[in-house]
Amino acid sequence: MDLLRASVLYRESGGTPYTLVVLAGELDATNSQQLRNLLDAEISAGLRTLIVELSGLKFIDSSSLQVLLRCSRMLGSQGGVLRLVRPVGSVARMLHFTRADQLVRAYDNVEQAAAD
Amino acid sequence: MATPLNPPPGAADKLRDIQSITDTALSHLGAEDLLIELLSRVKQILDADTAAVLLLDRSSRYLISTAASGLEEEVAQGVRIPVGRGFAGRIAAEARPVILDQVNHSNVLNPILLGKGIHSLIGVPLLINSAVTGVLHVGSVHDRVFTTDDAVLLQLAADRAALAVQSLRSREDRAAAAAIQRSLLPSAPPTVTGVEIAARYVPGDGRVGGDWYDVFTLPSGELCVVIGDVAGSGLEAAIIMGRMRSALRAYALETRDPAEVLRRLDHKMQHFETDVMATVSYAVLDPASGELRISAAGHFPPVVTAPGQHGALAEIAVGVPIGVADTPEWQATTLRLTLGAVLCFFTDGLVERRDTPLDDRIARLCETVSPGPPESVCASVMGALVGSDHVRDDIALLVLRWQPDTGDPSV
Repeated sequence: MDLLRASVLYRESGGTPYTLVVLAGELDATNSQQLRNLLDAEISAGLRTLIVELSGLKFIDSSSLQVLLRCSRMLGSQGGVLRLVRPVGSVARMLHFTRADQLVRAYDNVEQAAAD
Repeated sequence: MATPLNPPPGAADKLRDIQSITDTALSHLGAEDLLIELLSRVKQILDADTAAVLLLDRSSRYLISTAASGLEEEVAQGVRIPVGRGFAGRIAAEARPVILDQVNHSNVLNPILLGKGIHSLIGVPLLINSAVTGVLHVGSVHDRVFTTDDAVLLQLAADRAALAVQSLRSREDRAAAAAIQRSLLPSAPPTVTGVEIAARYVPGDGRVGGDWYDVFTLPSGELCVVIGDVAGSGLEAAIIMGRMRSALRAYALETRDPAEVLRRLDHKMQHFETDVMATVSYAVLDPASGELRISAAGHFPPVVTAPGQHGALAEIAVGVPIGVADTPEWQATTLRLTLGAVLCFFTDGLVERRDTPLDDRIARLCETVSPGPPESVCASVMGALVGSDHVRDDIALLVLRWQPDTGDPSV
């Protein structure tokens, strides 16, 4: 099953380049590897700020959360940062219950995430 | 352009060869027998002397000789070929057919192939979703020139073999993961005066995953309860779960502080495993006083209830999951259970559903957990939250009631 939709955009905000990944649909064991490959490609491209927009994401399982946390840590170790935008509903609750929200910061919109 | 009235010479033979390889009767064989039969047919069709299948190991760094015809010693001796080196290693690395008209020390590593006096070789990759899972090769003890037609035919056999191997491996993995789960989940919880325990484990989609629960006693007489979830599923998750379970037991013997146990567990997992994330909740109960010390790593707090109370998630300090942070910290919370208190520990598979908000499911769970006998609480919870649903993720559930003997026969 492939219910994940992902798009990648490269943008600049006040001179700071960042990559925006917009995720929508459901993230689970069937497509978490796909997400990992996508994020790994961005990380190895040497980017510094990765913003993942989540408002269209309805479901996230633990293997996909792990992919996000791993990505955040890898970026951190190369001087970059992962920022989340608008996790909603059950996705926001999972980030809270697992305390993933202590490791990756979430913002209300992309502009705020890019400006921080 | 003229259309030939008759099929080209040899077409009937080719068709027969293809039928021999795609023969549906082969499907009735088990994967091992299918491989052997396929190799023997391929050998016959290509008029060759040897045929062998090597499969990529879990590290994806070595090809292991798995089935052979006319080259049985390869399998018996456990031949391992590094990916990228030698004949088979090159096929695996390049994911394409390789033909050797003249075998020699420069293009073949395997001493068995050389010792057998093989002159010419042809090999193709086993592919699943374009990823290499192994190599199929055929050899001749005479000089001969294998053709691209031979490669096409061999690839057909390799595709068939790849599917058979994939189904065999996934069956084996499932069986192994289920065996690990069976051997590690306590069949009967320890008997501790004043405490009753019941538990459930349900594999998701019929597939065992990384959820586990554990109950054991310490020399002090205290009772330890663990529930956890290793991210991922299948054999890999089950193996990691087994390691975490033993490590946690060992640290539980060393220190009384549940938060310190989680710290040591995290340190151990981060040092010895790569890319592991797990959520764990670990509690130590003094059955005499009802004092419960608990620490959680990214895991749901247990639902707690008692006679005259509504069930609610216990208010405890929860830290980040195991395996994900550079300098994680966990804290322990002490709860004082009241007489007849019930604690319900669970994993995300119980409450996470695509069609219902998480908070609604947790509210439903809190309503369902009653201060009754743990066996019936487990049954009610599974009835209310799972029912006859098709469950995708695995579920672990552990219910504990603290009911020290007060001489009251009504309970």
